[in-house]
Amino acid sequence: MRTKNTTGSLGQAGVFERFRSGLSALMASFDILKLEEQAAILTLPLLMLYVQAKWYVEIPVVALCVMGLIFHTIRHSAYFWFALVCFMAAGIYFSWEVSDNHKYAICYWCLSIFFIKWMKAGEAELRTSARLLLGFIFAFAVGWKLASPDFMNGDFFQYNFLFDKRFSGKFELIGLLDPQILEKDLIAQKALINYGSNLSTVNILKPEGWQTMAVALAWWTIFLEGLIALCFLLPERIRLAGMGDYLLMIFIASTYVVAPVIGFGWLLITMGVIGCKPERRKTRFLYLAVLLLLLLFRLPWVRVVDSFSRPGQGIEIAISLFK
Amino acid sequence: MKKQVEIKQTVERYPNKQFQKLAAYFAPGILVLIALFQIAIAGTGRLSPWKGGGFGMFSTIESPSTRIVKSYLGTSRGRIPVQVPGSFSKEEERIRTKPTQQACDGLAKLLMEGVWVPYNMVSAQQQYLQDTDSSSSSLNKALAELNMVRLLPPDEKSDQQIQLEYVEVICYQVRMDSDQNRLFLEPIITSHHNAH
Repeated sequence: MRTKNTTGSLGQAGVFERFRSGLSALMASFDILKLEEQAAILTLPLLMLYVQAKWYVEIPVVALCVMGLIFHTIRHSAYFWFALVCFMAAGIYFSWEVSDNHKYAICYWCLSIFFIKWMKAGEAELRTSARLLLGFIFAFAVGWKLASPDFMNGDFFQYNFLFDKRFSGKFELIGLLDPQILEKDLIAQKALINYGSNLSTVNILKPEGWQTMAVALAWWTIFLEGLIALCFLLPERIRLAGMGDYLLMIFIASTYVVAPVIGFGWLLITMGVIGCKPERRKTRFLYLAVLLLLLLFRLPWVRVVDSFSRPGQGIEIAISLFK
Repeated sequence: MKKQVEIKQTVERYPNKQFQKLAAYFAPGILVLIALFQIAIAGTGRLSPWKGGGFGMFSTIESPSTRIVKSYLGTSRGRIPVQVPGSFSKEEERIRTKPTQQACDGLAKLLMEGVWVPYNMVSAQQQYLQDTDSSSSSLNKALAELNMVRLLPPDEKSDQQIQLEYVEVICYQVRMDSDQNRLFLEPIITSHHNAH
């Protein structure tokens, strides 16, 4: 005879099972697609949202992406991807010195898809290309960090913890940064960089242990990114290579919660998904879950958390979120 | 028959599968080439590691946002610091990303060629009535003491043009000395442009 609790537990188990099978069916509907189709579905919305804001890039790229999303024959064409590369490369060419690195990376990825389609290569080549792009991006990133004295001695992180709002806001919220110290340091920085200032140096304040934390974070970053580069550059038959996906997900989730460069994160996830072997379904699913998490990072959660810490003003702050 | 022709064309175009496998390496190869090029330019031309396709972002303080361009006008009133006008923001951005002597000289020349006038505050009503009241006069006097000037837009006229003797443009890099807890400016490029 079933008790109420057992029925309740069975009911909960039933809900959980239904949820799990629903997710499984969802993932199966994605896995059933050809790899090139998966690449197109993940890449075209990314291009539409994060293309360069120049008229001769944005208008044709978005138009092509819309056509590509609607008509599968268009997105299957190698020349479609070639056209995308041409417009994006034009945007980079005319402003190559000021273009962000993720704009280059998106261009390489689309170029990769073009070459695979044009030379009628297979899914294995597309996977290899995705993994090599990931490997080299992180290899160069690590190289630059190792070569930069102000990264290795922690100055980079200390400076950005104080003066980059993406960091300082969050550190202030969790109590690692005193608002009075931040205010004084911002005044000092403005006094230094103001166009009318004659100052060539200003003193700043730092919280206790800041330098140690910055150096530790620098070494952790180098370790993580170096390992990611190694895993993706190694042949897939080596077991270590399989760790790369999980390390990449850790990197994305931990980095972009603080500094949400969504376009780059989305691209890394796309290449990660495509670079995964077909039988690693759970890994591919986790990648897509991280993509959703990444998009949710854009919510003003700092202000939301702040509103809970000020009960009297919570409603006002909550309303201001929508204005 | 048509399919046989297509297969034949594909085989002729790509004689063997090994060549098709090379498709995986073209884009990564281009990435490596451009990144190496960026490293060379950053090393010799002071291109910010954050830009140019070398994937050096978040590796150094030397981003364009931590480079400052300060400009000064040499006049009979003395050396007047001016904010780079918005109309030259692209030139300023290029200097902050890749500070070269040519870029700095170019901005200095543009500033020299502009028409600079004292910063006056005249209300719309005063301008319409062509009248000055005492509050406006005192405000203009205060601004004159501050030695504030502005670049005259092309569609404005003024008979108060300031004669320039020289223009100086300096690009600085903000640096941090964590041992001594201070920020300081390191000059990167200086351009001094005399009036003819």
